[in-house]
Amino acid sequence: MICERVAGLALCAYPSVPRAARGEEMLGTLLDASASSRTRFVREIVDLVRRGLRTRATQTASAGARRLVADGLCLAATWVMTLDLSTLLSQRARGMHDPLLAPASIALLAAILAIALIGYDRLAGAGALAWTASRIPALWDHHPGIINLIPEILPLICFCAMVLAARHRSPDLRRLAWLLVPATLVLTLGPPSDEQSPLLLAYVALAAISVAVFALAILPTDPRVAIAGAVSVSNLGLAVAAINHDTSVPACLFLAAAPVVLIGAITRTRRLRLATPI
Amino acid sequence: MEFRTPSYFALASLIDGPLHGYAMVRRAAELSDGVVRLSTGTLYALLERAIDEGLIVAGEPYIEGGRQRRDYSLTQDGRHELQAEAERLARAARTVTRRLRVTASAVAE
Repeated sequence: MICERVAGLALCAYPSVPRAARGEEMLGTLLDASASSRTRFVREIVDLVRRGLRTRATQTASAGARRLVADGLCLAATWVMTLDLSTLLSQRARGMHDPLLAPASIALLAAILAIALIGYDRLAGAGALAWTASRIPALWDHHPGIINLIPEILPLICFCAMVLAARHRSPDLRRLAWLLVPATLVLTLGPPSDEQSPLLLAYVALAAISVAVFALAILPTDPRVAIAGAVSVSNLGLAVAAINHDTSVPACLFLAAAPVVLIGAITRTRRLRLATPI
Repeated sequence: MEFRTPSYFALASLIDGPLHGYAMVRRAAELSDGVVRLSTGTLYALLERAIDEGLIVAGEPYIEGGRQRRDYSLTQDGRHELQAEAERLARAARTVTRRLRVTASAVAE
């Protein structure tokens, strides 16, 4: 009975379609094949998980490297918008006044993020490009010089990806629940440092770590979340390097995140799509 | 079409007629003198590929001894591919054996 449960859990490594089609049958074969030996059972389970994950990876890779990278960039665009919205709202909550914090500009970004979350990537991407362009004069006034606009490059690439290679997903209003993320970030980081809730800070830190762990855990089978995370991290590294002129090792590591993950994802996707002998 | 050793013996296990998964595992082990010990994950991965390539067809599921089973059988294409692979392996073995014989005396000297 325990063996059956363990094998059933191992089968979860497979995508739902093959699991529904052959799961029961595979379970029977595995239990028969390993009935006489515990070592064989362990070997069977390890192999089943390995094969299941590979099936998942192959299924994801069938979309092609270009599509996976575009999906990752579209997701990164949503994350960049979320972080921008949270930052701008937090700064306003702290009583800061600046043309970049104009209520109309923040409201427009919130609307664009909502559109992206619902599933209209192309419209959201175009809106985000227009929103970024509208901020350039104020950004230039703050930090004159082309080098200070470098942090806008990665978001612009992501927004362009939304317009040129939008994800094909049906609109779903339930995804607006993700607006709770910027709301939580504003509640956590909005108040001055000495008034921030340690509980909320711990919650946000735990959520960020969970996302990172999740992205790394599914990286071998689906690189899209890792691409989005790596682009966001590199974007942060780029901002720190350009504005603070910081070229320390951590800043360089942050910068390297996106290229490393992108090269790894493309290489693996191409390898998985190569025809192999039966 | 090129076959890996486990796939070659898994397909060969169906020469005498349709078999379900576990029976294929046992038959492949017999045919290979115990060299090929197919694990369930490997077996079903290669069955999936072989079905996609039209080498094998899957029957309807049924229950036997409380387990869900499904019989697999070789298609005509599958028999041809298996035959071609067997001949390729035999040719390769003959070539190597002949060269070993021819050069055996020279190496001994």
